[in-house]
Amino acid sequence: MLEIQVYLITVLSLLVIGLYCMTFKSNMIRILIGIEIILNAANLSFIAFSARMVGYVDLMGQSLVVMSIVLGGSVIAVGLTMVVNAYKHYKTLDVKELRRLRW
Amino acid sequence: MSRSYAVMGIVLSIFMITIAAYAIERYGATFPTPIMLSGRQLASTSDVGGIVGLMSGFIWDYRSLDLVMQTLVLLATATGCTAMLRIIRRKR
Amino acid sequence: MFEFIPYTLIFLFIGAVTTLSVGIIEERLGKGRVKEWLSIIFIALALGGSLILYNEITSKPLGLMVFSIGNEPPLGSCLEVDRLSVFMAFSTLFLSLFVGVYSFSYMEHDTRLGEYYSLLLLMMAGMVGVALAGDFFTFFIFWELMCISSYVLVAFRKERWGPIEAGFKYLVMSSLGSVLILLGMSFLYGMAGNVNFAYMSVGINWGAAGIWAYLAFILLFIGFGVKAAIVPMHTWLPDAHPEAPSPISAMLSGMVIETGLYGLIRVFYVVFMPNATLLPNGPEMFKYLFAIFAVITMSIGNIMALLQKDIKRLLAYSSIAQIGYMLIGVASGTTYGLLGSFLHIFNHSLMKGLAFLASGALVERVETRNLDEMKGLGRFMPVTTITLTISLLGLGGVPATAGFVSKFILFGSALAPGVDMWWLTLIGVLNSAFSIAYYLPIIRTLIATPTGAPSGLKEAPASMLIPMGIMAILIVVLGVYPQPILQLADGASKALTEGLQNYILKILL
Repeated sequence: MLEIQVYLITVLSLLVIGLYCMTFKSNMIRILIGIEIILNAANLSFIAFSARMVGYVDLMGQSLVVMSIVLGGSVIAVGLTMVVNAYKHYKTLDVKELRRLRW
Repeated sequence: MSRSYAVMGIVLSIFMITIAAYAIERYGATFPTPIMLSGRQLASTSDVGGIVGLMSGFIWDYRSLDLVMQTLVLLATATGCTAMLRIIRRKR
Repeated sequence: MFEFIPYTLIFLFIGAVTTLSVGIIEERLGKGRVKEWLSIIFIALALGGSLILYNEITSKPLGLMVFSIGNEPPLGSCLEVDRLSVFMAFSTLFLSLFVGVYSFSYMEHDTRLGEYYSLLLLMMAGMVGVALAGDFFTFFIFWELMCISSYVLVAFRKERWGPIEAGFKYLVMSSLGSVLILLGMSFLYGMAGNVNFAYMSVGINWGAAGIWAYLAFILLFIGFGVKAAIVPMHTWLPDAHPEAPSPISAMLSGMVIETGLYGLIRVFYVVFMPNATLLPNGPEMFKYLFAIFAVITMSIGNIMALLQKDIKRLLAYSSIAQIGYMLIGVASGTTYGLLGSFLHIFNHSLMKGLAFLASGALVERVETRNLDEMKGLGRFMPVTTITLTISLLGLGGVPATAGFVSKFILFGSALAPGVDMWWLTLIGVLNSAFSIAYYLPIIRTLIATPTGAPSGLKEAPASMLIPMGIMAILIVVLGVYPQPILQLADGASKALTEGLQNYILKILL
């Protein structure tokens, strides 16, 4: 059981990596994976805070993680249906092509 | 052109991670512990096998409203996916 | 404890399941309009449920009710209702009734209508649940329900490329906001041990928590700001609102962004504000943060709206500016300022909803959204043009409409004795006067003499005109006699500032 600082550094690193993925990648599916990475950061943070006391586990944080995984899965499912429809219209998965809506 | 953007992004990310790590190493020991924790939410780590039963008991006892509302979210997801992926062939 | 039964959520849930099954059967048969009537009946029943809730809450001495299945609140998930929750639930259902009646004939020729109506009812259930939630994770589940339904509804007409592109951008930005809210929630959980709103307010050691409390607040502000369209995080809104079907645009701009603002106000005033004196530089930092974002949001919203040629995109930028006005009330920190914000939430939902519904009726007949091609067409659709005029004058803050009352209270609240932000009032009044400059050319274009003769442009059908007419009459009546809605909003704002003690003690005792 490591100290809380190690877990906090991991959470903030995952947040930065997820934001990098969403900002600088041009494939639509990689952008959705970026959302999943930040979601994993939040889940890791819940679990890290639930295990702070030595010898005991806080059941509240872990039950919230069980339910938040389901919510993350549904958001990605709806996102992937949009990617399928976008592929039918634009014939490419590159998000830089979705530039027709301007000004 | 996009290659230089990606390199700039990676450099920026590593920079931010090192700043965060340094700041937490210096100031991180002061993350506060909770003031009052109820005894009913804690489970000891000695029984590893029975933790599933304890967890299910906790969720059904204390978080049942969230479970019921999650079925609404799953209904919305299923309805949304059928609405977006259905192919309608209609002769107009 | 079962102090009340949430009839609203039960009716909306039953309505969603029934409408979906009836819709699937009718689509197999190829004919039948039962699902529209069913959905309107269920919305009306849910509105009745919220009125029952209002009666019950005015009869209780403290003005609070708690509902939970199973065990007791501080650990268990609960719905905690005070007058602010009833106000938001009532506003949502009131606008949705008009939207439901309007989409009776607007969406007549679309496919997959069973899914449309059931997703509409589920989005309403999500918004009502967000208003009623007493626990941060229950709030988050209803928030995700509202968000997922709105992603699909924006991209509903998937045969064209526009809604799909707008829907994807909306999904990416809005789900980023949701996961940032989850991350902020996890930091607050780590400090408190529990995710109940009332528990977090008293159960955190604020003195030892200095920088982490600010980090949690910044994450929550960005997360809620994406949904509430505060300026650096607003870029999904001008794409999503024009491409969605018009009743969904009215619903999004009328209530979904206000639900984002409600979430921000609820978390800020229950968890952070009572303890702001324990944080280093607490009260001034929060006040100036909201004030600066209010100024930026108003200014950029108004300036960008001036450059638009597309009527629905112009109304979308105008929504961003109106959110800026509501932030002035939050920045003042007084009960009077919050009264202005909540009153403007209700009035804006009526006025902007009417503007989107009326412009949707125009756009459907004319097949184009460009203002330059709509010259003089208002003469052929008189009732639509009159209602659009009333809503645009209300949005600009002309006296004798509802918009004037709420803007007066908002701009006056920044001049209160403890607040002293005269520059905020000045910028607000200038922006409000400036916004008339882009509302009037719409009216002028519509009633100019027509160039060229469009063939057979008829008025909109009756089932679209009736909700628009009722909303227009309400805007004028509430501008001249605002007492009923002023009383509701007053109870709501007092419940947040003066009733906060009761809110916390109800859960902890």
